[in-house]
Amino acid sequence: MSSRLTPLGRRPYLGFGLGLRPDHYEAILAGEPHVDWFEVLTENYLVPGGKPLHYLTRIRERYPLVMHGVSLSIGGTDPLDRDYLRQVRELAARIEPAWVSDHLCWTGLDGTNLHDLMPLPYTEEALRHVVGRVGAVQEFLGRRILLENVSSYVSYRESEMTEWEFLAEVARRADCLILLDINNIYVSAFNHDFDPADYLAGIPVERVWQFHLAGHTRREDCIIDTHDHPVIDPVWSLYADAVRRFGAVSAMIERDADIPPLEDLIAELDYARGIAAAPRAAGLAP
Amino acid sequence: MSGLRALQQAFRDYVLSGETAGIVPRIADSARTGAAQRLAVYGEAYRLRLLEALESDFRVLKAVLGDEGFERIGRRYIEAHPSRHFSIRWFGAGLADSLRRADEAPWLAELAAFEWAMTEVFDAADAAVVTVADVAAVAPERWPGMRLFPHPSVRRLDLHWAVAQLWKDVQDGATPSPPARTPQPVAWVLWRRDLTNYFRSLSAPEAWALDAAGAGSPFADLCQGLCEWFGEAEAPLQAAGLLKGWVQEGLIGAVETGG
Repeated sequence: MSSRLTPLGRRPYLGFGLGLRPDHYEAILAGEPHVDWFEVLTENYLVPGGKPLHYLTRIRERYPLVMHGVSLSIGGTDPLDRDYLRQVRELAARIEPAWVSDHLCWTGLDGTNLHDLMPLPYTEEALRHVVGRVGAVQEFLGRRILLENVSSYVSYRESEMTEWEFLAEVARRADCLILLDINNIYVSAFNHDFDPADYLAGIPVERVWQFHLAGHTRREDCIIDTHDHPVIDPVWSLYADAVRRFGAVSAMIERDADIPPLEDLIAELDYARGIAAAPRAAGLAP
Repeated sequence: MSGLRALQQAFRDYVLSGETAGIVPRIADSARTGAAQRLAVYGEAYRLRLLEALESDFRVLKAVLGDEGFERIGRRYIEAHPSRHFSIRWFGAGLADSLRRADEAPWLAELAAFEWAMTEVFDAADAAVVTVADVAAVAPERWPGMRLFPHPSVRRLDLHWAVAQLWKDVQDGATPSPPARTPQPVAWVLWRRDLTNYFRSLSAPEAWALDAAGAGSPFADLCQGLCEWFGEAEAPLQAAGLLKGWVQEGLIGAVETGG
């Protein structure tokens, strides 16, 4: 299915980015802040026109962008939504993102969209299903996609392998790439009692092209991936581990609620830069 | 049916209707909490996410109803109208209709329709606007056959309640109160110019003429139709005056002169 893709070459490196949010449009254009690139939520720009596309175009003139979707439903069992994919392809042609990503999950059934990142069972059946669909999507878009590990709150009795084995196998068999969300590993490790170090160790290095960093909400019984707080220390520590294993991977901070002024996020991003520089300075990573 | 699809059906049924029988037996045990609590994270997140989408599109409705009142109508809508679009942007499209059919104060549906129209104006397709110079360049003999097409952002509403004033009051920080019923329905036009949304009321003849133009009527037909309100000699002047105003306001996206 992916025969038309060029051989997997050296991983491109964009540096340190932020999720693009409308609250920051004006500050970005006014100040040209020290952010290397922005990730845009694909669906927010699949609109006919007006402000969203106006700002997207102007910010694209100044910064590299990557597209991050939430509606692909790569693990869904409805047919792939060709209309959606066409719109994604058109937006990609318009803004020329460095890459396009979505999530390893399902989002709806029988035409109903749950607008959530629903967990998959880690079975051979689901693996074959996802691999086939990734091939079709990559064929349609004419490029490899990145799939992100999601936070989850349940796991299934029928799972036959770990989440990282499943993700790694999808990437290998479908010849796709990985967006590794460091916070989601931390959240799911807590919720499902696994060791995040095992997760990192199970992911093929050359397939990881992007990291996500984010904050979350800790409840007594579980951790919820809310993107409404700063990144916490244990996640920074896991990020440092990830940098040691994967090397120079484009990293960004996601913030979707209680969005602070841009300067605060840039300060947080500078913290990430510091962590990433440390192992490299110590000669521990490329 | 595949195991994967059956699992997704059971999970979807749980999220939409709280039906646990299908999904709970498939959830692995956890030392910390029961399956029901962990599933509830998905059930609650589904409703809260859709409620947030409604809140961001219907801010004035929420201001008028208060948090509790808005949540009541929001949750009722969410239960009755699962999202069918890949983007949550379109989730609120049916709220005004559902309020119209519900046993609610009739102005709530009009306010929802007004706020939804504002969202449509906000991200409607981009297009250049016709200028006064463009129209002036049309040869006089072509005017009768000339067709004027509204800009893609133009929306028309006929409202029985002063919800546009209410919308303005809330924007200005006033304490919202139920709107007055107008003696006659009032025609409104909403549109976008230079990335900013505008709206204003229309007189009956102007509303008729703008609708007729949007339906493709040529200028001669607009003049003819305006005779219902004006004398035959005055109607063409009125039509030309309306046209000039529309063009100056950025309401017209295209002029066709039939060759």
